[in-house]
Amino acid sequence: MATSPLLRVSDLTISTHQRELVHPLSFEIAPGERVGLIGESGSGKSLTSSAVMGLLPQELEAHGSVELTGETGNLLDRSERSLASLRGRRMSMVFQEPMSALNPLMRVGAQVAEVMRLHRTATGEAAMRRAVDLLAQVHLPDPAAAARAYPHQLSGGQRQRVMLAIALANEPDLLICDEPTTALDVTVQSAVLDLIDEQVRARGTGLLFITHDLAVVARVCERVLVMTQGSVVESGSVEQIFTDPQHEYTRGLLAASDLSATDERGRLFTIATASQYPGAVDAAQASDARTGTEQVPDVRETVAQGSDAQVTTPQPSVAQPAQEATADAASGDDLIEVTGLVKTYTRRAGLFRSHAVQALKGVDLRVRAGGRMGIVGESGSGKSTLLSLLSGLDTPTAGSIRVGDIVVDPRNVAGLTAMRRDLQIVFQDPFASLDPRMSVADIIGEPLQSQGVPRGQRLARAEELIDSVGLDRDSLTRFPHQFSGGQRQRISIARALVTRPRILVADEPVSALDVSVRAQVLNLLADLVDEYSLTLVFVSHDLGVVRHLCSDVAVMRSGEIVEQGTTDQIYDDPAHEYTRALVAATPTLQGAF
Amino acid sequence: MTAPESSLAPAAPEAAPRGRRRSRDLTFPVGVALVLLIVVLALVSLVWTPYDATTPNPVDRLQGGSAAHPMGTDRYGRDTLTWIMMGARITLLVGVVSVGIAMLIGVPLGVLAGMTRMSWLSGLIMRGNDLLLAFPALLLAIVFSAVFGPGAGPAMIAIGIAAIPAFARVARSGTLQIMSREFIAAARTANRSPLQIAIQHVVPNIAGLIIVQASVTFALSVLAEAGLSFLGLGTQPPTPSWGRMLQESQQFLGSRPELAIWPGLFIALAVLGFNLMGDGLRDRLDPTLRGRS
Amino acid sequence: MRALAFRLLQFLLTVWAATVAVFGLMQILPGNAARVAAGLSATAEDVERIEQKFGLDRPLVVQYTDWLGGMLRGDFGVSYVTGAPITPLVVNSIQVTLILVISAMVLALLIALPLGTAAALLRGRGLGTLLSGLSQVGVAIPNFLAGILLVMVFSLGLGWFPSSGWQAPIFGLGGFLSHLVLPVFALALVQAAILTRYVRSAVLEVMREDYLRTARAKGRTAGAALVVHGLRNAAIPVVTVAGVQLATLLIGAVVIEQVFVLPGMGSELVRAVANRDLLTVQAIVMVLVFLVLLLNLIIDLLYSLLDPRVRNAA
Repeated sequence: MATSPLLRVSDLTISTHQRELVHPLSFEIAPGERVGLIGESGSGKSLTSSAVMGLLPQELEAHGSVELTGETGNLLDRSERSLASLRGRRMSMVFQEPMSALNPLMRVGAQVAEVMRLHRTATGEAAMRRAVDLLAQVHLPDPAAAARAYPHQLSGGQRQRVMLAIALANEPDLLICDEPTTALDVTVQSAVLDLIDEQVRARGTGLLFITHDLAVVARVCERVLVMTQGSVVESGSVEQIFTDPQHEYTRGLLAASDLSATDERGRLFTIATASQYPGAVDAAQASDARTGTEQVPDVRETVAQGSDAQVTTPQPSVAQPAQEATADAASGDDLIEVTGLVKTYTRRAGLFRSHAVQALKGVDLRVRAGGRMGIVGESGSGKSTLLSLLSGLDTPTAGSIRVGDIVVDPRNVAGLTAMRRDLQIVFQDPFASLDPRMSVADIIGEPLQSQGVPRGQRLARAEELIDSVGLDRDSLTRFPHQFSGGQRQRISIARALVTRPRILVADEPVSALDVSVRAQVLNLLADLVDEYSLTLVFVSHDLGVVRHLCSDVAVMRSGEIVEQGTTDQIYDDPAHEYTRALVAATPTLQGAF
Repeated sequence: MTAPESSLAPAAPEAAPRGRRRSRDLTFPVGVALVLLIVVLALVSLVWTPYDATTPNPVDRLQGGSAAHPMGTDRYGRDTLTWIMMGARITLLVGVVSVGIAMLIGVPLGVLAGMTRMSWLSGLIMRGNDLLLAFPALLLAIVFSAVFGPGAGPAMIAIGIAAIPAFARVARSGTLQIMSREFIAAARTANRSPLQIAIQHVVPNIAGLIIVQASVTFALSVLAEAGLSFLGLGTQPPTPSWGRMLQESQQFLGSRPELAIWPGLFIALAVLGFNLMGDGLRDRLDPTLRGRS
Repeated sequence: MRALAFRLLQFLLTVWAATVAVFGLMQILPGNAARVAAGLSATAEDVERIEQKFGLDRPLVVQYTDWLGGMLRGDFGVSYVTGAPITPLVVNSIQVTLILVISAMVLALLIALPLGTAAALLRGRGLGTLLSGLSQVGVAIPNFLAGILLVMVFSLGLGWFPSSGWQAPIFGLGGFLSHLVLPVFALALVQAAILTRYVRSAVLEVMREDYLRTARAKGRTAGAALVVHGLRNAAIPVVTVAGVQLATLLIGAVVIEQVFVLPGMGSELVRAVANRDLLTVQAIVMVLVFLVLLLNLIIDLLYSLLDPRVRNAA
C-alpha cells in the first residue's frame, strides 16, 4: 500500500478500569478499500469500530492511535466536539439493530436531512429535497412518502436503507457497518448487502464491515481481519483467508461455517476437528463430485481453484447421512400428517372493530417415520404458527393434524398428553427457554413430572440425558445462568428427549448461537437423531443448516407451503420462484468465489 | 490518551461506575437499617416504654428535651418518646395489613389477567383495576371513615383496597413478560397444567417485582395512615399515632416545635426506609428477571 | 378519530361505573343515612320524618337514578344535615382546590424538569448523587409535614407569609398570592421530589437508546444528541407520571387545606365526614373521582399527540 492509508489504527487497546477487552491492535484501510472485520460474539469487533468513531460507552477507555487521512493527529485525543464534526461527514456508521436506531418521534426525511443541515452540506429545503433523493438512491419504493413516514411505519430492511442514506448523505470517506444485516431476513439481507456494495463502489468509499458471518464478508469485502478474544489473529485478502487460512482459529471458523463440508461420519467440522477440513473450495468440489450435480461454472471459482493447488486433497469418503436414513425409513408410514391447516388470528382494534390476520392459509404436510423434515421460511412465513399448532399449544381455525394415531386437539387433554410423550420441542432462544429459577435437573425432569414419575426416577433419567448431550453431571445441580448459549441448548435438547419421544421438533435451535458452537450443536442433534431413531422436524430460516441436516424440505411463505420435496430436489432444481430467490439470496462460502 | 469523551470531563469514565456502585451499595443497607429501627421501636414498646402512654401528667406538660423526657412532653405531660415508640406499632400494623390485603387480592388477579387466554376476563379485571385507580388511598380511607366511622381498622382496609391495582398491574405485566418466554411454551409441551405453570414458573419469576412493589406500597400506606390520622379520621385516641401527634402539635408550633418535628421525623424515616429498601431490592432483583446475570 | 371516540366512550363508561361505586359504597353503612343525620337522640318518628323528607324510603334504584339525574343537571341535592343545597358549596370549594393543585403542579414541574435532567447527566458524580439523595428524602416527607415546617420557618419564624387562611383574588391580588405561597410550596416541593426521580430515570433510559448513538454518529455531540433527540422521547413517560401525580396531588390538597385552613374541597369533605353529612360526602367524592378520571383521559390524549406510534396505531 504505497498511498497513504485512509484510516490507520495503531496499537489500539480498549479496557474497563479492571480489564483489557481489546488487546493492542493495528490495521489500515486504504482509500476506497473494503475491509471485513470478522469475529464471534465477545471478540471485541464492535468495540473496535465504536472506538474509531469515538462512540465508546463512557466507562470504557481507548488507548493507542487512530488516524484519518486529512486530519491531523490522533482521533482518540480529540474532544467530543471536534470528533462530532468528523462523524457523519468524513466517517459514518450503520448499526446492527434497525428497529431502534432511528428516533421514533421524528419523520424519516427530517432524520436524513438532519445530517446535512448539521454539517451545512445542504440547508433548509435543499436538504429535504436531497434527503428524498438519497432515499431514492437506497431504493426505497416511494421516497417522497418514506420521507414523510415515521420509523415505525417502515420495515426493518427499509429502516436499514434509511440508515444507509443517512450514513452516505455527506459522501463520507469511510463507512463503518456493524452487523448491518444480522437482524434481517435472508432475502432482505441479500438486497441490503447488494446496496452497500453498489453504493460503496460507486462512491469510492472506504468500508469497514463488521460481521460474524464469513459468507457475508466474502460478498462485500476485499480484505478480511479475523478477530477473536480481543485480538486480530489473521488478516489477508478474502481469497487468501478462505483458501489458505494460517491461524488455527481462522481454520476452525471456516470449517465450522461450511455447512456443505462434513467429516467421514457425515458430521460438520468443529474447531476441534478443523485440521481435517479440506478448505471451502475443495469441499465444494468434493461434494459436487459426490452428488454428481452440475454446478454453473463461476469465474471466481476457477481463480480460486488455481490458487490452492497445493492444498491437501479432500477425503473421498464424506458420507451423506440424511440420504442413508431416508433409505432405511422409506418404508415407514407418515408419522405426522397435516391437512388443510388454517389459522386465523383476530386482532382487535377497538371495541367493535377487528381484523383477521391469516397466519396459515391451508397447509398440507406429511412427515415419514424416521424422516428429517426441514421447514424453511422467513419471518412472517407462518412457520412458528405451524409449530405451535403441531405441538398443541394453539387451536387451528380449520384443518387437522395427526401425530401417530392421535389427532391433535388442545381440547382433547388425554390425546394431548399421549401425543406430548411422543413429540417434544427444542426452542430457539437458549436464554429464554430455560426457567432461570429452576435447577437443571428440575428443568430436564419437568416433562416427566406431569407424567407422575417419582423424583428419584426423574433424577436418574436426567443423569442419563445429561451424559447423552455431553455435559457434566455436576451441571444438574446448577442453574441456567451459569451456562453458555450452546450449553443451554444442550440442556434444552436433554429436556426434549427425557420422555423418549419419537418425534423431535427443533425451532431454530442454532440461530442464536455463534458459528463454532452451532456446528457442535448440529452434530449433537444429528447424533441423537441417529441414536434414538428420531423423526426430526427442523424449522429454520437458514437454508444451509436445513440442507445439511434434513432429507426433505418444505418452503413456506406468507402462511403457505410454496414448494416441498427432497432436499436435493429443492436446492438443486427449485421449481418455485420464491425458492429460487431464497436459494440465491443465501450467502454460502462457495458462492463467495 | 483516553477516550474522546473524557477530554470534556476528565473524571467521568472512572467516576461513573464507582459512584453507581457506591450508591447502590448504600441504598439497600440504609433502607433495611431504617426499617429495622422502626420494627425494633415497635417491638420494644410491647414490653417496655419509658412512661405510660395514656396517663396524663399535668405537672410535666409541654416540656423540652431533658434527661427524664429525651424528646419532651405534650400538652398533657405525656412522654413524646413513649408515644413515638408506640406510634411505630400502629404504623407497622397498618402497613402490614394493607400490603397484605393488596397483595393477596392483587397478585392472583394480575397473574390471572396475564395468563388467561379469554380476553374478556383480562379485560374485565383490568377495567375494574382502572376504576379502582380513580380512588386514591387517602380518598377511599376518608370515604370508609365516613361510612364505617373513623378508626385504624377501616383505614387499613381502605388503604389495602386502594393498593390492589398497583399489585395487579405489576403482577400482570410481569406475568405477560414471563408468559412470552419460551420456557412457558416448554412447560406447556411438557403437559403442565395452567395452575402448575402459575405456581412453578410464573410466581417464582415475578416474586422479585412483587416484593419491590410491597416495599413501595408499605411506604405509601405509612403516608396515607399518617395523613388520615392527621385529619383525625384514622387511628383514634387513646392509641398513639404519629399522624395525630402532628395534628395536635399544630397549636404549639410557635412554642414547642419539637412536638411536630419528632413525629414528622419518624414518619419521614419510615417512608424513606421502605422506599430505599424497595429501590435497593429492585437493583438487586432486576438482572435475574431479565434472565441474564 | 375512531380511537378517540372509543377512548371517550370508555371514559364515560368508567365515570358511570364510578357513580355506581360511590353510591353503592354509601349504602353499606350500618344503619341508614337518615338515622345518622337525625343524631343519636332521635326517635323513630324523627328518622321516619327525615326519610320521607329526603326520599330515603324509596327503592335504592330510584334514589340512585334521582341522584345521577340531578348531577347531570348540575344539582347535587340538599344536605340531610344542614338542609342547604350542596351545589354552591362544591362550586366554591372546587375553585380553591384547583388553583392550589394546578399552581403546585406547574411549580413542581419547573423544579423537577431541570433538576431531574441534571441528576441524570451528573449520575455518579457528587452533585448528581446529592440531587438523587435529596429527592429520595423529599419523597419521604408527607406534604402536611412540609406545610408545618414551612409555617414554622416562613410564617412563625420570619413572618413573611400568613400561616393560614384564604383571600379570594377579587379582594386584592397581593393578599391572594401571599396566602397561596406556603400551601402551594408545601404541595409542590414534595411533588417536585417525586417527579425529579421520574425525570431522572426517564432521561437515563433515553440516554441508553440506540437512536442517541445514531445522532452522535451523524455528528451531534453527546449533549446535543440528548437535547435534540432525547428530551422529547423522555417527555412521554414523564407526561404519564405527571398525570397520575396530578391525581395524587388533588388528594394531597385535602390534607394541605386542613393545615392552612383553606375553604377547598378537602376542608368541606372533612367537615362533612365529621358531621356525618353523607350526601355531601358522596357529592365531593364523586367530583374528586371525576376529576381523577378526567385527568387520566387528558393524559391519554396528550400521550397520543406526543407519540406517533400510538397516534398511527389507531
